Amino acid sequence: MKLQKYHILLFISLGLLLLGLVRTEFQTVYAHARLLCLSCMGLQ
Amino acid sequence: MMLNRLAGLLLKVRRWVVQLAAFGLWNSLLFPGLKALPCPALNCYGCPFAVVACPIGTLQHFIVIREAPFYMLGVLGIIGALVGRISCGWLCPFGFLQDLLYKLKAPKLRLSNRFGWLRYAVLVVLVGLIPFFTLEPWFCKLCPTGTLEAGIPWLALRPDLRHLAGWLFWSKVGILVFFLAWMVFTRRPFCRFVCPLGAIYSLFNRFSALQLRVDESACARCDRCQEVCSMDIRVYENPQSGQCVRCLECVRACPKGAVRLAGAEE
Repeated sequence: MKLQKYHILLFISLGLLLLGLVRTEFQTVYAHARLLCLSCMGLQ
Repeated sequence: MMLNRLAGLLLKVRRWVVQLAAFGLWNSLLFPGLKALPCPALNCYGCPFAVVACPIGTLQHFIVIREAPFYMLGVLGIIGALVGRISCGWLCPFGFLQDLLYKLKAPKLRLSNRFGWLRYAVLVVLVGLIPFFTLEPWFCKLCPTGTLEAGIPWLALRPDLRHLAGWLFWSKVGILVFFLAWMVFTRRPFCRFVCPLGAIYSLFNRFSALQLRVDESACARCDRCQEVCSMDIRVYENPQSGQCVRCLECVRACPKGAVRLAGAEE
């Protein structure tokens, strides 16, 4: 199979995802997503 | 091979069924722990029933806390590299709403995609620069999806919050009403001119593993593809257009069978 541009993008993205997982960024995502941000809803 | 199977499957199912199922899945409240997972489409995580995290809200949060969003960019990059902007056409609740509202009987206003660059401006300015300098997620503060999925439902569910609705909330409601009205007259105006997530996915359409192809020898240039296109694209002019949400309506509608979904290798 010939190397395509999407292969390169996929490898870069997988690298970013792995780096994010190692840095446990999903915990930050979870903590923030669980937060009820009233100011973002215009309630302040 | 897998992509060909996916293409065959997508052509067999009704898109609105998938869109409805996706809306239910992102907002089912069945798996609250999944909020660590990014939603592949624009779905507000402030929604009382949301189970996944909005990618644009998360990107802004990382910008505000001065950290690099490797995880979120990785997920968006993987989706984009494999299927391009297909999430917008099949999995986005706000896109689904736009498709439904455009079906209402009303005079239609066709707008050129010439101003599609505006969504990149929204991405850079409202999602990137302003949150970076003000430390506030300003796209979220203006996002009509958030008003519809989170602001209004929270006020309906929690009467004790109603006294907090001030000028910002009513401005958000005004923005939402403006877009809802526009959606009746124009095809997917939010996706075409505003959505920053669509802007990110657009960058991948040209290079993704899944591609739209037009057989130029079979194409009669009858413009049937543009008539049915969710994004008002003349598909034969640029099948890899960044505006294409891969809804596949053109594939179904082409009288000559000249448009098809194919792998990048073909």
